[in-house]
Amino acid sequence: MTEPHLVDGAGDGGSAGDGAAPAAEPRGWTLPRAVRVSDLGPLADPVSEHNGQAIAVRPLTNHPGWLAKLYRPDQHPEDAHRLDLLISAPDTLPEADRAALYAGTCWPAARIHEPGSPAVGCVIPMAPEQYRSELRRGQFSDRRFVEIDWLAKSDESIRGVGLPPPGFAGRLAACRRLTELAAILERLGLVYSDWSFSNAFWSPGQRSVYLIDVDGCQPKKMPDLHQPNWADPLTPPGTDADEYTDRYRLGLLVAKCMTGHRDAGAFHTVAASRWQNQPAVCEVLLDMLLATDRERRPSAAQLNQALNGGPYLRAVPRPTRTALPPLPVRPPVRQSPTEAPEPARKPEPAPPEAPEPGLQAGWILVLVLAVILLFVIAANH
Amino acid sequence: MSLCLPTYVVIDASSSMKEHEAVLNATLSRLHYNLATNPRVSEFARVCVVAFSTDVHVVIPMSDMEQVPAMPEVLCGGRTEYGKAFDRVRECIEQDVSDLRTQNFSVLRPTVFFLTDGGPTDAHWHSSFRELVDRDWPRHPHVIAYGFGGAKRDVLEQVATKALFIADGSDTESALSAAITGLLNTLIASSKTGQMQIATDVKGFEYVQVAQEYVD
Repeated sequence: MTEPHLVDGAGDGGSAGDGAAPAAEPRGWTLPRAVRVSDLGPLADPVSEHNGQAIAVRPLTNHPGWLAKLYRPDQHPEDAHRLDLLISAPDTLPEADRAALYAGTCWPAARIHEPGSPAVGCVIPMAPEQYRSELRRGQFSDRRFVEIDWLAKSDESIRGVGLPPPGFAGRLAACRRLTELAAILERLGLVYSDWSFSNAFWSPGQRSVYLIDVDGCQPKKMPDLHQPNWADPLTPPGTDADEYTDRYRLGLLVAKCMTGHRDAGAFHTVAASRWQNQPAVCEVLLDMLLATDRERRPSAAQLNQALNGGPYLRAVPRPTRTALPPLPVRPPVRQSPTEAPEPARKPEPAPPEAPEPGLQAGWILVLVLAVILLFVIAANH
Repeated sequence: MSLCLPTYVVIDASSSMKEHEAVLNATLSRLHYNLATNPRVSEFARVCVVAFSTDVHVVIPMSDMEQVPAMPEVLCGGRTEYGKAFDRVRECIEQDVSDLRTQNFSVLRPTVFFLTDGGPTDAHWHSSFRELVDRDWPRHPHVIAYGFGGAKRDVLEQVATKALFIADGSDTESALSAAITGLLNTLIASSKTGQMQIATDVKGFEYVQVAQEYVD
């Protein structure tokens, strides 16, 4: 079957094969919101397989920049309805938010169905080329999508693989973009749950981010997607993730990306930071991460406002917080037996020790006596 | 607390590997590159590289590979003494797990990737191996074995406690490269879930399910 209903480029897309009207697509391809695999033309070899809910992600040969994400066969039938809601959700947004969502996420454009299977997969845009960079280290290099994982490293580490170090300004810009997208999802009443290092790309050059796997979003709540080191301490295992889980994970991701620390050091660095032009960020982040009442965690919009230099506006009292987690102990320096021994270093001179209080008082007494003695001698002359 | 998988890459550097030494070192360097440029994986899988022949050398002590500037070169030569390798790995695990716990990591069961192209030349390796995988030792590791070249299948069936990969006749250099790719894919998959996820599809290798897997 050819592609009678699909039209490249903006404009009227003709009649939809499934009865759903095609909407004007700002991303360059207008297609019906429900299609069959055969409507999409030939599929290229997978760019990814058996990853999460997808069995394969395959480029559409006749539509460069677009992918068919094909789900495992165990999807619930109601996923079709959920996907339809997601696909049409941007229609309800103000123009600026819609543009931000389309530019910063692989928002699904169409549901793929087959007879008897209402949700075989979805059509999504490929991440723009600006999110690929060449990584270099030693004699090796390769060009790949740069995960936001890298932003949670020090500038020195980032420079070490040939990427431009972001500095504070680059980190801030990326986190503003990330929280802008999170705030839009929040306004749509969607739970993402999958906030982590692997689900967003970062463009060091453009200082922007791109969220992937957003087709898994669900309204209000969804099964908690476990990823090591991203567990929300106040979302018990086995319970669903909701907007408050998202707030914790978003706060964690932003704290790590702003500080370049991956462990508890991120919490401590945030607590010690005084970002002059973003004075509210520290408090908002600490409330997101440490609030004892999960429902008092600040929203993504509040964090975005703070990152843009705004105040920490609250409709409810501030939450109480748990203590900061213990700082990790730095590993002992261990030398590889294959390495040459380091030349012995001249020991650093020890800093002068502070005198003990008792000794100090003794010296003051001697000084006072000496002054008195001087006066006596002077008076006798 | 962050999850951490202590990972031991134990490589046969005996004289039978001498002619493949350049490929072995290039393959190890590629492993280092791939780990060092994947922060999520290098954060999760702390790696120790051990080369064994007549003697055992810890090429890289337990490290975040991003912090290791370059992989030192391994020189091949000597006998294939399994027993000394198992003894040294046990010592390393004892020390490394303590160090990682001191650094506030939640430490998973260590995993040993054992790569060899030959059978053991020492007669008494069994006792060292039994001590390494003794279930009464709380830190006993999983062992995933890759055999190629002149490796003995019946021996490796005794060594592997989690999975065994036997080369299907492809040349040693291709097998070595594929084994390291399989090892890397296992670490990548495991870092996503926080649990051991073995990449069973390794080019040029037959995957053999281990019947007597040790149960934690």
